[in-house]
Amino acid sequence: MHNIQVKALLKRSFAILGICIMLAALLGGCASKKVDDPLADVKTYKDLNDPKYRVGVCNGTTEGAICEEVIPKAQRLYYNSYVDLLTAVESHKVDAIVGDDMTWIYYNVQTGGKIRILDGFLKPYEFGYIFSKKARGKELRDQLNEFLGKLEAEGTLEEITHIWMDESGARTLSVDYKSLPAKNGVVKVATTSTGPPFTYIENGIITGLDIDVISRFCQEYGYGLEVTDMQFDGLIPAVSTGKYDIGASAITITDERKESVDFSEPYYFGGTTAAVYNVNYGSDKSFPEKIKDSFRKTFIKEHRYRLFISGIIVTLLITLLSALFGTLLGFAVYMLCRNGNRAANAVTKICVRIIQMLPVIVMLMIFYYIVFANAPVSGAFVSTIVFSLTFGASVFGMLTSSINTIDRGQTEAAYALGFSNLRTFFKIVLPQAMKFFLPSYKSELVALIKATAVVGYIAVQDLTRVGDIVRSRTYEAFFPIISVAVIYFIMAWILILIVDRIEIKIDPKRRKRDDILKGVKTND
Amino acid sequence: MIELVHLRKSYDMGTPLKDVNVVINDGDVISVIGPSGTGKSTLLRCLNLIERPTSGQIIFDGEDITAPGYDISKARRKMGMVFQSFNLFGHLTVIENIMLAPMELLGTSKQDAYDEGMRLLHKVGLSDFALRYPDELSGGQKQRVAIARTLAMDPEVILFDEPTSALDPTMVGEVEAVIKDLAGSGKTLIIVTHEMRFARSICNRVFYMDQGGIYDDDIPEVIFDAPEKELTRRFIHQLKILEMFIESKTYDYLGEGAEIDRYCSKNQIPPKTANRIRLAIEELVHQILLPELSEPKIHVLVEYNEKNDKTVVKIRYNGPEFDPKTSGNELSLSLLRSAVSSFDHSVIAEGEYTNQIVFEQ
Repeated sequence: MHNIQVKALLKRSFAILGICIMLAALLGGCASKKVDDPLADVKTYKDLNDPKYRVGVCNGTTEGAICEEVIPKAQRLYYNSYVDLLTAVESHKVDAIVGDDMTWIYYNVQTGGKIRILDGFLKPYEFGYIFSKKARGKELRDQLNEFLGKLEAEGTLEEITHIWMDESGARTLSVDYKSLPAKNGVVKVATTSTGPPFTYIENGIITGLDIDVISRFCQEYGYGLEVTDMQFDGLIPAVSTGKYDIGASAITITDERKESVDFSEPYYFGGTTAAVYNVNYGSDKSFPEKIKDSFRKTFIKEHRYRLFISGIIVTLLITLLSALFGTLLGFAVYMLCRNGNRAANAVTKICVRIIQMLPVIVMLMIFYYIVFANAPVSGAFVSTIVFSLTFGASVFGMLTSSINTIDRGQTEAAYALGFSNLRTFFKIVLPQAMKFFLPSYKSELVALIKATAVVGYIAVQDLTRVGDIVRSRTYEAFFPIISVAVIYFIMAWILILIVDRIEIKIDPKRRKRDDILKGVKTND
Repeated sequence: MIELVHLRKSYDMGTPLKDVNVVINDGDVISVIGPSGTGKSTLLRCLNLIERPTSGQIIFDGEDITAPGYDISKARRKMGMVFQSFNLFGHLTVIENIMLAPMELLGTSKQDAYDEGMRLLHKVGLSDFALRYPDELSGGQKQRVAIARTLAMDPEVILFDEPTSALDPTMVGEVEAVIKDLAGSGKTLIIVTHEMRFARSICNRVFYMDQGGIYDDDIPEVIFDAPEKELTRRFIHQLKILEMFIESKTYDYLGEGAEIDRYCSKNQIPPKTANRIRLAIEELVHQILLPELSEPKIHVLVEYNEKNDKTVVKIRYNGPEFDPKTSGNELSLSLLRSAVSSFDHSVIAEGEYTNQIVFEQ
């Protein structure tokens, strides 16, 4: 069989295999299982203090440390968000999960009792809002403390808690914070919108108890309000550097955190609680109904498809702009280095190495929190810069190696005919190097679109982040993940198809005979 | 006209061109020959500055092309080059390889470039191959296309850097025929080659390169038939040389004997002949000459001619006139006679040397 046919066949079988795996995951995740409860005798959190139990906790929270202290014998597994914790306990990756009591209560309100909350607090806690230690932070903190004191005295704080946490609560914002007049300037708030009922997204707007309190505060003190969503890990650096004014995201007050940020007076008193999966929870719906239900919840309800579309646009925008700028950058640097002196080349090579060696996520953090600490730029902008740099570095490397494959003799032949250095490069060397350049360029492009999935760390709502947000709202464990996977797959496929077309288009050996001698009268 | 003035090219590893001074006239067809590593290709590549000379000047048509700031591509357009490894542009068809330079550099129209290209292809016998790609051609065809590509710029000078070295022996002829055709056209050709027969048949001038420069520069009749200079003669007759200097009565004669054996086996001289040579040298030098000379200065030169498989031994020595035939050492003399049929003694005056003995095997 012809080599190309074999390749095509291989490609196709891989694609089919991939789709099969996804479907299997979907089926496995949604199929209901009736089993005896292996955790029947676990009644309080103390019963979990046994090496056979795996306990899930959330990164960047104090819960890991609390578990270590209170139930030291249990194994601890760390996840990135509460949604991940819930997904993990539901898919039996962990036996129990530990987190805010209110989150678990709220979850059960939403799902009709999917988890069983164990008795007792591992540790009582207080939530506070965080501020930078700079002058502006102190000023805002004092104002907010004053405001919280007033709410408490009036009994309003209790009322707000009821609105957001009880089954019968209204769960709506009392203030439309997007249109608050900014008489005294704008307050920039950072939050992690995957922690209902304190902070979450509904109808495309970040809402929740924390947002409610802050918007009431802003209304009272004449501030405009700007709310930005980001990973929980990023909240404290975002506020301590002064990039954001307030961090409002059910943040537990700890001495360690007090070293980097200032806390407001506590506004909520609760406790760290453990929960296990409720094996008695089961739906009597059939599988197709479940899929239909999941689809409706993930895409239709609250127009969530709009979130997905905006996520796709953000991901594509960052990918394509980074690819464009990165290609230009890599090419420009190569052209400068091509005939440059050794010192300049050495400096470039070191820079390229540094960029290639660092994890992208680390570079994103450095650029977002350090380089652009005081510049009013968005996470998407920073992401584009970082990915342009990394992509540029790989384009530079790929250009260097693909151009080195063209034998030196052709360059000499062109020089000997009287071609200048530049003309030789563009007319002789580059067209031939493209054949070696494009295949690796293609895989770099696919790697790029996948790599952009981490931009959620610096407050960008890309496709992956949208998946997380939707999961945190729907408590659908699997459907949003699979949907995100399918969308990435399709996007990457389209990118590959485009580069494939370019590859065919610019291959000099695939030109038609008539094109080669276009406009020439031949005798034959 | 090309004039080289004190041209020098040195690398970290060595200095192939030490000091080259020569004038190349218009219409000259020059063969550049010499052992490998003597800078033949380097000289050629310096002429069009593909290699930058370390020092010295190249005056081409009255302009110093090595002067700083001189636009070398101007000179290169008048000085084509044909490479050992063809170096055709892999992404272009044969006809495009030929059309590219005139269109890009001389502003020739596509139609004119095509017509001229086809004419040249016809001339090198490849007009049917216009739309092939280089990797579809044989080595000989590639080299003919490369020559056509060079001719398309209508250069005054063409440099050939071992044009047939990378070819299958069966394809050498077709390329040589094309070059021969050019020899009468008035263009200056400079050809680095190992094909002596070919070199001799087309050139009017030969550079023999050795010892860091053009060692010999003469017409082919002299170089090939009656070379005057020693190194040229050795190269042309493909002589393999062994030289020994004996300047003490207590020299290491076992070591010298072993060296003669090594030399003979390296040149595949039959063992029987080799034994005779060693015996003759040992008897003559060790037994006859050394006892005779008070302050010996003896120079032994063995030349093995690959062409006719003959070995010539020359032994020169100092002191008053002394013919070994008059020696009293009858035993050694008879051994010597049994090893070589005859030897001649003559009186010479070359530096310290006053006597010479020559014998053949």
